[in-house]
Amino acid sequence: MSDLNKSTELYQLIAKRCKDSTFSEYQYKIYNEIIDLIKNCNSLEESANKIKNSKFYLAPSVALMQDKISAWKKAAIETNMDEVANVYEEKLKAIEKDNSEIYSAGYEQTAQNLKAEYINTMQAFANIFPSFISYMCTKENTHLEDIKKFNNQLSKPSNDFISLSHIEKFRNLIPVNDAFYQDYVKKIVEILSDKNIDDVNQHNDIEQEWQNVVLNKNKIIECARLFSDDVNYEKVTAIAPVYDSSNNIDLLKYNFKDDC
Amino acid sequence: MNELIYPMIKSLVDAIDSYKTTSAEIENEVNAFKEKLTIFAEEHNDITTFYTEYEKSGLQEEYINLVSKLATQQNFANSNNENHTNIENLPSVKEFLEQYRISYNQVRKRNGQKAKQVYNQLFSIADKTDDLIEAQIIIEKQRLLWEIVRVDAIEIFENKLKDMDPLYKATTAKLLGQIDAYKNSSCEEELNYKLDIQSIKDIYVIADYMSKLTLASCISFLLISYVKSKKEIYSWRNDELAKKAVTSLVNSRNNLRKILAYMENALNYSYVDLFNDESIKIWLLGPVNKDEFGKVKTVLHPSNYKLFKKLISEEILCDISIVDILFRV
Repeated sequence: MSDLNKSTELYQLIAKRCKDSTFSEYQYKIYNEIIDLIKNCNSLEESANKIKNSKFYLAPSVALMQDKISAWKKAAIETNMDEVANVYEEKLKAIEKDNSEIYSAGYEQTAQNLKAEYINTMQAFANIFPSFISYMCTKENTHLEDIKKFNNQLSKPSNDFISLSHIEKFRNLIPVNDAFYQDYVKKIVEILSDKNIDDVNQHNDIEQEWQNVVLNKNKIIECARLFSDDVNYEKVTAIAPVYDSSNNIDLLKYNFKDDC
Repeated sequence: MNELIYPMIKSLVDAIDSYKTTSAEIENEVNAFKEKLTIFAEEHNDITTFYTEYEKSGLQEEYINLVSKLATQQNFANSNNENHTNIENLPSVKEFLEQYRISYNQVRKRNGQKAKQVYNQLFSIADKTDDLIEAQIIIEKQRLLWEIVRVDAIEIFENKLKDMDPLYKATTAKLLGQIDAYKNSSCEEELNYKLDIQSIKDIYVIADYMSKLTLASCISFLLISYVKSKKEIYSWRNDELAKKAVTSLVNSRNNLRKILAYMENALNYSYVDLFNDESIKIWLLGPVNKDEFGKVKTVLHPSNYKLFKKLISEEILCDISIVDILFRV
């Protein structure tokens, strides 16, 4: 096989790989054009010089960059990061207009900064829920402060808790079913506006229970001798299982050792 | 200029100055940028907001663009002196493959077994052919360069996972997602797409995990407080303390009932599910990491699992009075 034929085979292999991927459209087009270009050459040297002195010298790098940016843009669109998608769209347009734009990488930082704002907002929105649970459990004000702190971290696509709560991708961050979700949102809004969300009637039964306990004081003290349901405060070591790619993580178990 | 901001500005300017340019146009751009940067730094004295403002101003993007332009121009100056390709001067296959020796040595240093195997396949091409194009055809057919990137990353992430507690999903979700992305991508572009999508999916896994973890910690806290109150009532040091203990017992019980009902009805996650979920159940024992990655933890004795389960089913959810609870020892 001549060197030129081998060279054609190499480009065909690359083109096929690009065709097989749904992420390499720009490269697929360029490599096909290169194959067409070298078809009419008589030697490897001629084809190499034709490529070097044409747009095809830089075109594979440009196409690779265009495919990379297109992939990031696709991810940004699918994850509803409109402003990020827009940065990539503008960059694609700029490269289309002037190929040397591939060497200006500032857009990557701009996209990363925007992406971080979207991701931080999702994380902050999600973090409000555990703080809400902790507050329900302990009634400690520090959890109300945490809810407000996370609320202040919301920024993109909106800094408004209610607006975000209506967006599906934010709603899905809260692992409660629809019936409870509305109530959760309502309670967070009340917390954010410093309203009391506690059920004032919840401890009405304390006095009644106390009277019953007092009435049975002697018998209770007698029972105390038999009390055995105490927490075991002994500390032990828990050793995490070892990750093994062939095992299902959900089947792994901790190993306990009494050597603390 | 703020004395803390000055070193930041100086390092940015020094980085630009480390590139040499013969282009008057780029030189002008560099000077204009330095002037803008200096004015900006003089107008923004607050170190705490400086970097955010720098990002927002567009100067950060402009800076990166300028540095990449200078670097590219320098590379072109170094390599683009010939218009004609002389194929007689092409390197041998062995010489061509040697360019991968530096990255191979790095893999070898950290004992990257899987990548090493692929590198060996790559270097062995020199034994199969002396023809540079044939060598590249073999590399392309076997996707060796992509394979090196892929298997090496997977091995690094899997080794990291081995050093961690795989059941602590707040940190392992990200690594598992990355492994999945590398395993299922056929090129760098696809990988970038999958990693971006995965970084969002991770947030959902972590949100779900942290919610359940918080529930388990709350349940544990309330159960311990419940048992302590019960013990205090039994000890009956005086009426005042006993009443406080009854109040605490009733409150803990009510809050537990509320949390357990919420968990079951809102999250469709019952306490039985929790006790069957190893990654969450451990949080009932108040784990404290003994090493950086939580592979080893100090926890309360696991016999408490049985006690907690019994308390929930026989005392918390059971519709009996406090007195009846105190009678059933």
